[in-house]
Amino acid sequence: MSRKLLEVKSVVKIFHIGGRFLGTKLKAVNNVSFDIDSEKPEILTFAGETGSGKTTLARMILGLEQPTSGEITYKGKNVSHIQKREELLEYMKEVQPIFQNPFETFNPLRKVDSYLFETAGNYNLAKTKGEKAKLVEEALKSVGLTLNEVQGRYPNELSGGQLQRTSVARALITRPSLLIADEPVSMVDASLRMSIVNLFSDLKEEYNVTVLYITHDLATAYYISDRIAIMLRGDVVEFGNIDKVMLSPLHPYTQILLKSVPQPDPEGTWKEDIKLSSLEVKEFSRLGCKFYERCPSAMKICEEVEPLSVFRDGREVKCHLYSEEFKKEEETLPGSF
Amino acid sequence: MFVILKDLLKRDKKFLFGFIVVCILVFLAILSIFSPYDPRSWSVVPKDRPPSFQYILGTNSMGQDIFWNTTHALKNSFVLGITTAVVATIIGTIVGLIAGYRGGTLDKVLMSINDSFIVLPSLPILVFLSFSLRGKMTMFVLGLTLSVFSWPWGGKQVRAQVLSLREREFTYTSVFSGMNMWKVVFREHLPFVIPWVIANFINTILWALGMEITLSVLGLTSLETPTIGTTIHWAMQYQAIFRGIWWWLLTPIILCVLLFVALYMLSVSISEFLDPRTRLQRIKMGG
Amino acid sequence: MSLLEVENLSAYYITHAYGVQRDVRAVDNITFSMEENEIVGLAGESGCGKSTLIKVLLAIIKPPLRVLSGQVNYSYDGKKFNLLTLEREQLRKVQWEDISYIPQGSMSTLNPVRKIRKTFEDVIKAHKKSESREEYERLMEEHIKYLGLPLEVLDSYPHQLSGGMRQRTTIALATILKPKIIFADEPTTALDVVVQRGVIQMLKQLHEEQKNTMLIVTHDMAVHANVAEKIAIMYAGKIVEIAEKKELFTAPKHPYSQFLIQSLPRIGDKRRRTSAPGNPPSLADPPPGCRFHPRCPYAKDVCKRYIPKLIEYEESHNIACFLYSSEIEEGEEIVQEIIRS
Repeated sequence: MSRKLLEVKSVVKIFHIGGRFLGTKLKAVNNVSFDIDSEKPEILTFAGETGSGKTTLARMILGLEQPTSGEITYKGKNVSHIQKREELLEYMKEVQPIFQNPFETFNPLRKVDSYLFETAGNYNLAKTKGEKAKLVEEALKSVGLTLNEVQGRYPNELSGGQLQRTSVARALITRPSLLIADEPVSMVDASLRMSIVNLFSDLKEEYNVTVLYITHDLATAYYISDRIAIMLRGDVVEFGNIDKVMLSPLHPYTQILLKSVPQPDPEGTWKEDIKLSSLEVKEFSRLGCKFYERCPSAMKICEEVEPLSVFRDGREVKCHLYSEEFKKEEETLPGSF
Repeated sequence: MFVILKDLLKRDKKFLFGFIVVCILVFLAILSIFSPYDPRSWSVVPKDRPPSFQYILGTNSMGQDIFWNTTHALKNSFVLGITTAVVATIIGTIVGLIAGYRGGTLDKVLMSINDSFIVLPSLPILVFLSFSLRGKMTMFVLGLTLSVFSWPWGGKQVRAQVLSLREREFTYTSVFSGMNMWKVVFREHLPFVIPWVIANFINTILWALGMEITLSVLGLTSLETPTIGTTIHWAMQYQAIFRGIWWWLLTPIILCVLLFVALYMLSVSISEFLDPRTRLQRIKMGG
Repeated sequence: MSLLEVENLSAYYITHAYGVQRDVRAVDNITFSMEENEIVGLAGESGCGKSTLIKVLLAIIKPPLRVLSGQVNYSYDGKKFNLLTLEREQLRKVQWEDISYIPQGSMSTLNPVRKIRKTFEDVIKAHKKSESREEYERLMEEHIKYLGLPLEVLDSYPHQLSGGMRQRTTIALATILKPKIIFADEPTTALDVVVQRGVIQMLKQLHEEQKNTMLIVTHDMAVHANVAEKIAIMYAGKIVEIAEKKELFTAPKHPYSQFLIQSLPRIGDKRRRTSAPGNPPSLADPPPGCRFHPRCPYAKDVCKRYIPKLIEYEESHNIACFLYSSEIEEGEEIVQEIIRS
């Protein structure tokens, strides 16, 4: 067994909405498990709609949120046990975030390059000003920018694309093994979007960085990912190789999701109608399958019993359609793959 | 800094007015050094003289020169206002920044302290303190006492600001850039909070001056120290208005109004200038 | 005569702060037209001026936005007028009843403290005074039902609805008076794909029923591919290409459109896609000549000096690019003069 970079084991996150006693509980992330190999860098996508729990999952991995139960370990160390500042710095050096809105990533009242120099200095990567500048220059070069372009500039003097590149460059200064990119291109101009997406796959190839790509945009997810997890109301409903999941989806939700993605193809307009979700909170608190109300192939069991994740045709899928079949065949469940 | 000042003076009439008035008043306060009379001694000049060349603002019934006395009064009032504002603003801002940024238990503890100071009835306590400490109450001590009651307001405002700043993405960027709490709070958040801090600073000066006047008019401060408040107190004690010695009462009142209006103008203008939104516009324009 | 004809329209945001004047050329000498019963998609990246164009076409003009030149001529049902010169009273009558608007972010049209039924009533009452209460109750409920929304939305407050439901309610509200022309500003942005699809379905359904003309603004080319019949591409305050949807997707002519189309990722196709080089210009300080020339791989000398005119290259395919014609746009000097005065 190879060493694991990141292991997420049955992680649950419950939010209390409107006060601990009177409010309702909301399971934002429900029993999610997966791991990332440390030998083989990859781009792993978590895709889902608003409120699917993908951002909460990312925040937990970044240590910004504590899981209610379950554990997240990075290189064998439990992330929630980090207490000391040195340990935290050590962890942040390895795991760096890229945020959604490039115009919010940097303080609008401060110059952009200061963050790059701060990163170089605070992680004790460079002592003198010259050494820092060298590191910064290198990081900027790897994202296709030069120090001249960003030095002394305020965020609103740069374009969204430039800022997002700078944000990636900042994250790269510490030479992290894992980048967590939460919707990194949704606010970037259409004409620049692909250049940022390409950047991630280049980084994977050249710097052996694993990227956790969190998005609602299935088209770019397909374009760069190796594996994908489809999330629905806190559950990972389908998880596996990108081609398997996206070209021959098994879970009814994945199927509907893929059918709904507008394709930039003038011929392929939709014909049939679809059902829209009712109230979000209702779906979150549903006992059985979260997709029961909208599912075209819903069965009786789906209403009350939460389906188990089963391994089928090269991917994990959480649906009674497959787990029932599975039971009949009486095979054992693999924990992960 | 100098460029900004020049810019503000040139473009903003409110600032220009406030700045000039405050400068004149400060100049008057400085003049107190050259005062030929000890402000505490009585009967150094003829009594109840109206304004003339010899006594610019006239003299009062205690035989003091009102002009020179006023310079002392201004100096003392400035000392009081600035002491209060400096102490209150520093404590309030730091408490607000930390409580807002750290959140959790620390926030709860700091805010319950903050709230307990807010609910303390300041006037009765001040009246009691002044009454019992009379004489020992120098301007500086009074300033410190006043700041105890005024820091929580600023602290609460700053905290509210930081609470929303904390959730913005750039805060996370700075955390992941390896900055520690102090760096994040002072470099990232303080610039957004500064307009409030400055507005608060000036408001605290105004509040402290007002409080001093209230206490003095009630006769609860060391009355031999000339301040705007004590001047009014003595003028009323000697029934200056009824006896037609209008210059005695009018001088502190006009000064007081001028000072209040000028400080208010400065506060508005500086807040506007430092407001992140207008600052962003200036950055965009490259100026 | 077309339903909407826009001629040499320029609208800038003009601000003064601390003695410096700043002009943002959001709509920069635009000329185009729309036919009756047509769905036009307006595409362009954020900050290219597309939302401002919509505002001007609706005559929602508040400072610092100023219209510097041009006409917005509507003609329908025998009426003909320039929207920008209408009196306030006439304008109010035309807006919503004939010319309607679906804004970006649906919260702004729905009053947060009133039930949605009340908001609907206000709109109907303001425009159809003659009708009785029963009449507009009926009108309202029919419309809601027709659009496939549950009747309960009428008795909810906006915050009780999900984002998608709110957006669809806004669309219902915007179309209740059966307007001639609808402007939709990013109607599907920030919605989930499944909901987005529902909203697009609804817009198409409306078009079928009411036969209205629609201008749909979004940066998402995939949405245009599904709704629009004709697509206009906007870049830095100018329209650079207008063509039939199929033509634009299969044979884009302007270099910017080419980059835009070929960089679109498609599921099932992993070929490497590239973005246009460089960065979009600032509208406060656009480059001289063709706005795209600093990023254009085919830029010639002429592109750096003159602005290409939007010309009809083929039937219903208009392009503003010196690769296809040598016509130069005029009127730049006039606008500059107006600003200076």
